[in-house]
Amino acid sequence: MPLENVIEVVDFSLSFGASDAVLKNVNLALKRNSVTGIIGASGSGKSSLLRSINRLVELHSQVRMTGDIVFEGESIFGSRVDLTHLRQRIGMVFQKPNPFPMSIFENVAYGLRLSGERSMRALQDRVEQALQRAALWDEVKDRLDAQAGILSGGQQQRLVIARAIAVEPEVLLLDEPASSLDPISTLRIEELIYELKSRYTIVVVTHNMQQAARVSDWAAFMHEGCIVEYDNTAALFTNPREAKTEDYITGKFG
Amino acid sequence: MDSLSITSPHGVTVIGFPSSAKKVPAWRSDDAMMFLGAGSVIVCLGAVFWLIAILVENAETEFWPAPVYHWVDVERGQEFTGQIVAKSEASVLINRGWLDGESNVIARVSRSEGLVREAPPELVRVDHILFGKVYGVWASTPSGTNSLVLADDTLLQLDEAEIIRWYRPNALDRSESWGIFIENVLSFLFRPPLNSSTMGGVYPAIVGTVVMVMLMTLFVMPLGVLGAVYLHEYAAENRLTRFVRVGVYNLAGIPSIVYGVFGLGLFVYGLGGEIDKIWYSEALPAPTFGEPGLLWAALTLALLTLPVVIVATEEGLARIPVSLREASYALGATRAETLIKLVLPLTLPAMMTGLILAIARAAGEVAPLMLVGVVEFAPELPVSAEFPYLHLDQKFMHLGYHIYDLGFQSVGMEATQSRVYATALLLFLIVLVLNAFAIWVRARFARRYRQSL
Repeated sequence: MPLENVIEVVDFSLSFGASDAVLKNVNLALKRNSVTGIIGASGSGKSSLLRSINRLVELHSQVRMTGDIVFEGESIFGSRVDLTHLRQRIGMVFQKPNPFPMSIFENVAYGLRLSGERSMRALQDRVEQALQRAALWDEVKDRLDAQAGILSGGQQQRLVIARAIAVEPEVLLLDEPASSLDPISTLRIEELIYELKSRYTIVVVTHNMQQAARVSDWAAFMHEGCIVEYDNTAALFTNPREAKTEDYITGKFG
Repeated sequence: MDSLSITSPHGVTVIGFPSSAKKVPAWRSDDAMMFLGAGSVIVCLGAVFWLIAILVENAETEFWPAPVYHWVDVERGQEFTGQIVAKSEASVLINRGWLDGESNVIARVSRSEGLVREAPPELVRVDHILFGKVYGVWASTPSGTNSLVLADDTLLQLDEAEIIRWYRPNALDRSESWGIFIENVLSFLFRPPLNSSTMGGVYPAIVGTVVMVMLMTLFVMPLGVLGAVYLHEYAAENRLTRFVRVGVYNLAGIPSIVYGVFGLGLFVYGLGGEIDKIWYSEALPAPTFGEPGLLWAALTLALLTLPVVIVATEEGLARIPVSLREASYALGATRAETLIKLVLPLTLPAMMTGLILAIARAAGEVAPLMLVGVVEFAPELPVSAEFPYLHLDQKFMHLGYHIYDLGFQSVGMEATQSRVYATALLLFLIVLVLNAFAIWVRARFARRYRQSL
């Protein structure tokens, strides 16, 4: 029987070099096939938390971590964990659309090729499937060989989502996926998140509280590296337990 | 300044300013910096055009068939026949060709009132393998057209097999002149030098330059690219790395002759001597690799151009945004995979730019080459159909050194003057084309990049 929580962050602290901790004793459980929104002011550690879950934070040379993050019952920091495999199971989409300067097809196929897929037929099938799931297929099916750079910002962001889901991850980490997009593109991304929920466990970091309220089932409010409040979205937005949360969602600070 | 008020039919007052109300001059008259800057740009441009003009003008004498004159100095009772090499107010310098058992006899003809110049159409210029240029008139002897009456009335027998070509410079029409011009250009590009480099072409020098540069590319590219990758991607950003980087950048500033001495000591005597001891001991004491040659010249220039490649590659690597690398890591790629599949292909144009700049630099380098393998005359090409096809131990000719040799080392400097300019023009054009190519590649890279970000 699958665990209820896909990811559990346990007493996790993070700091870079000698500076103050970016994350302080964070505890968070991500429920299967749900969308968890993480809100909070800039610098509250939302992105760092997200980047800790797929261990991208380790690219920084002087990172120090305590506590643990458990993914499907196993610590992601275990000695037998294959980083490549972990990152393929936990996909990530960044704030700014960052397609590779390659063709649309090659962008989506990049991760598949990394995992050793050689057959052109299989590649084509899986690229099409990923683009369809990312609701981009109809717009690009006639120009898969075109440079990804010619797409609009919103299309690029959906391409990047297609690239992330092409390798069939179990979890999708979205780091402010719509913050650089116009309202219509934002809406499409939100619809997409809603559709993707049935297949993946999704974590969305966002500045935008309306967005968090719209797309997420669970919401966490972060402040200065701590999780202040974590509850289901409706409860957190309508009836916050903490004064800080209320201040933030009513716009008193942040 | 008056503002303009218009009252509209509805009674609303619209206030506007006349368009000429405030005019901002494009530049202010006290802006001395602009004039200084523009002035220096003009000076630089002028110098470049002047250089090109001088090269073209002087190289033209090498290719365009000039008339052969016959001067008679009535006062001094002297007669000269030949082609003009250089002119001045007081005199002209002429090449009299083969005379008295010597080729390329140079004479100075003073301009005086009693000087008479004519261009008889029957005058012939013969290009001869041994004698070089010979000026005269075909003798109407029964022996046929092969004996020439020279300016001093001696008869010169010429073996037909040794005549490269002959023509009457004063009797050419326009199309014939163009024919000879084209022939001259082609033979300059595709024939070996003849008659102490006063005739023929610079083909071995072109081949030598190209082969040496290609060999250099083989050495400098892997070394430079891998060095840059290590410095930029792997080395920790600490004092040692910064020291190494500054050191590499400063290598570009070392005088090239120092590289020559270095190459002579390390490669020729050091490495070459060891190779001779191990593999060519039967030929000793005659050196095989223990003397200047193609391989050592290419290695020396590879060292010399290494900083150019490293700097260009590092700049290219630095231009790949972190967001792209992160995207690759987030898809599960390792550092090496990200480098090979994403970063290096994107850096390729920057590497190409570095390579072309390196080639342009190497093609024009002279000083170090004199020490490590270039000679003034080597008719045997460093590449041949004979095993091992590429003769790494062989000495070779080089365009840059050829200019130096023609201009300062050859016996008859006056006779080779136009070739100095012609060779310089050729080298200039080669480097210009390479640089233009580098700029084009870089521009293409920038365009592709803007599109995707």
